[in-house]
Amino acid sequence: MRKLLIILCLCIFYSCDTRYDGEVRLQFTGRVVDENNNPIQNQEVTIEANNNFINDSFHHIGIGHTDSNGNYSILVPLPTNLDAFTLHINDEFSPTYNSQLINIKYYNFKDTNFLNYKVQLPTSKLYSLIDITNLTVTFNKINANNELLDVSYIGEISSENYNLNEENIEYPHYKRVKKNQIIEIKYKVKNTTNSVISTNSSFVTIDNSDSINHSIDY
Amino acid sequence: MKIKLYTTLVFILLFSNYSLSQEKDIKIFSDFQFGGNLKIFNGKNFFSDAHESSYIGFLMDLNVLEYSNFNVGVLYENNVSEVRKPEIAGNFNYMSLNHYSGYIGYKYDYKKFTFHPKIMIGDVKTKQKASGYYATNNGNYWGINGQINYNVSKKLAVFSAIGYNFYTFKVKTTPEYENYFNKSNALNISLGIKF
Repeated sequence: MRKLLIILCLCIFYSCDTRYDGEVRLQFTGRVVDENNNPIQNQEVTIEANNNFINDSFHHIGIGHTDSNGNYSILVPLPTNLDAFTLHINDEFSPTYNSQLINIKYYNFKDTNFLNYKVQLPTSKLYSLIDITNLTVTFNKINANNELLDVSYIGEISSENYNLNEENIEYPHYKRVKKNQIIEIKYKVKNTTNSVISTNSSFVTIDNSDSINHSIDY
Repeated sequence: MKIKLYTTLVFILLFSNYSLSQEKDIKIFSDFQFGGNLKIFNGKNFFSDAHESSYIGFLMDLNVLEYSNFNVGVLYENNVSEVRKPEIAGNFNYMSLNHYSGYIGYKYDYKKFTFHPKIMIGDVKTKQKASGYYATNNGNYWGINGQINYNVSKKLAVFSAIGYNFYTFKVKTTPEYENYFNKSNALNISLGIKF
C-alpha cells in the first residue's frame, strides 16, 4: 500500500515537460536568398530540438523571420545536447512554406560550431524545385594502390540536408544540382605505394533531365 | 546572499523571542497583506522588449518582526507576461517571474493612514513556458518601495504601493546580447488588503 502511494505521488509530481537551461542563450544567424542571389524577406526559419531522445519529443524551441536583406537571427535556451538542434528553412509545417522551393535543414551541431555562443550558418539558397535535378557520381577504383581522399563540387549545388560535422565521404555521391550548367568535380587521389597525391578534375554537363549519372575512374 | 539574509532574519527572530519578555512593543508576525501588482519593465532588455513590458501578478507579504516603528518582513511576488519577440525569447507562450525577498521598513502613522517605506532584497526565478517544455533561470534583485495604508479598523487596512526594482542575471550569451539579458529595471505598483 505504501509503495502504491509513493508511486502515485511520483506520478502526480512528475512532469513530462522538458527543461531547457535559460542561463545560456545560443544565437543562430544566417541569410536566405533565391537562386538569383536576391534576399528573401519574411521567410520563416525554425529551430527544432529534441532534448530527450527517449520519448521522441520534438520542440520548435526557436522561430524567426528574415529581414529585408534576407538575414535572420534566432536565440534559444540551451538543451541537454547541442546535437539535438535542427534548423529548418522553408519547412513544410511553416506558414510561409512554398512548395515550389526546396527546403533546407542544418543538423548535427557541435560545440566547435559555436563561437561566443553564436553560430554563423552559410547562405541558404532556396532553388525552385523545377530547376533542380539529381546528380549521382560513382567513383570506380580501377587501381588497387589508389585511395580517394577528398571530393569537392564546384557549381550551383543545392544543399538541402546540411550536416555541419560531416566526417565520412559517402559513395556514390548524390547531389541535387541546378539544371543547365557544367559542374566541376575536384578529387584528390593518393597512391599508397609512393604516397604521391594528385588533384584531378572531372566536368559534368547538367542538362534538363531529371537525373544524371556520372562515373569517375581512379 | 539569500543564505545571509535568511540567517540574519532567523537571528533577529531568535533575539526578539529572547527580548520579548522585556520589551512589550515588539511584535512578531503581527500582520499579513496580499494583493495584486503590476510590474512595468523599461528600457530595451529581455523583459521589456522580448516580452510585453507589463507583468501582471499578485503578492503576499508577512511582517515578521516589528520594533519601534521599524519592521522586517518576507515578500513573495508572482508576475506573468506574454512573449512578444520569439526570435529572442525563444518559442514560448509566456514567462512568469517568482520573487522571494526580505525587507526592512519603517512605519509612520498619521491619523487613519500609515506610511511604510521599504528596502527589499532577494532572488528572482524566471520560468518561460510552452506546451511540453520550459526554460528556467535565476537572478537577484533589490528595490525600494513606498506604501501607504488606509486603516479601516485596528485589524484591517487597504494599501497601495509604488516602487522600483533593479534586476541582475548571469546569462551566458553572445557579447552583443549580454546586457540585454542581464540588466533590467521595473516600476512596481501594488494594491491590496492588510490584516
